Amino acid sequence: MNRAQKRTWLSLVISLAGLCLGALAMLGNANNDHRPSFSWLGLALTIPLISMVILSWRIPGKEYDERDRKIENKALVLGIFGVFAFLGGICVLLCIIKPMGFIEVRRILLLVYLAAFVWFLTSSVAALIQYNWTIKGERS
Amino acid sequence: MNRYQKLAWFNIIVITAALVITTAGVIVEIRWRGYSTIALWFFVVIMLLLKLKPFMFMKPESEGGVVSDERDGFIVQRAVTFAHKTFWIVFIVSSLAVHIFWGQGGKSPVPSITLPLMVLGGAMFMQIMVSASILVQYGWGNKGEQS
Repeated sequence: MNRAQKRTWLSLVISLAGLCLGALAMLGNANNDHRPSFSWLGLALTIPLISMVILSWRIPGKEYDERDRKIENKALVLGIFGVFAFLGGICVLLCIIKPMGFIEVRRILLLVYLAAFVWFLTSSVAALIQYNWTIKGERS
Repeated sequence: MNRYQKLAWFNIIVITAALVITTAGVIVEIRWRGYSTIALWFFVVIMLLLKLKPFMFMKPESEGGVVSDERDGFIVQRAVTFAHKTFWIVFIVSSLAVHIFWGQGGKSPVPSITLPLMVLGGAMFMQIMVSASILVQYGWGNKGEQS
């Protein structure tokens, strides 16, 4: 497993954790009772988000070869498709559930956070599929 | 000017035209009828022009030349990466800013239409950033590049 693959696996794990936390925060406050524990959970989502930024900063792409770069670029574009599909789906759902209704500002922030994790997850899965998921002794 | 430069200019012109015409249409319609429904369709119709991009500027500039080479592909890849990073920074920072500075804070309600508008705005912002980044990397103008 080369450095790019290790980074992708780490990214997959962090994004899955972030998505689970986000979904829990969203569902925990679904009936608008504003329980503080779930509000703090939403705020805690910043930690995996920051760790993703640190991950891309601490493990830069300098040591990757051309193939890794190509895979990363393809994964990035697929990630963008994934994010807009997710956000588009949420918008359609929102238009069906409450077309002329209101949404809390913090829920929008939570959705943006979730969209970021969906991007990390989609691009990690896309990259791992291109690497064929398994360890084949690649080294950078 | 090669294909990607032309497409970048096309992107910027279409998006700007869509924004300007729709805004003007909405203002005229609201003054005239008190509400706006028709003008929003201008936006959809103009933005549909972007779907023509895969079929545009496909003819090589020089006889027997290619439409794009590796350098063009590299420039587009860099532009997409840059636009993607900028998009996330702006998207998250603007959402945090709204959360902090909007009315009574996070619990204050905003109309449901805000989220689709944010997504649409984000997609347009990304398109503009990709186009601007491509043009910046080529040096904005026509320097006689031929593929």
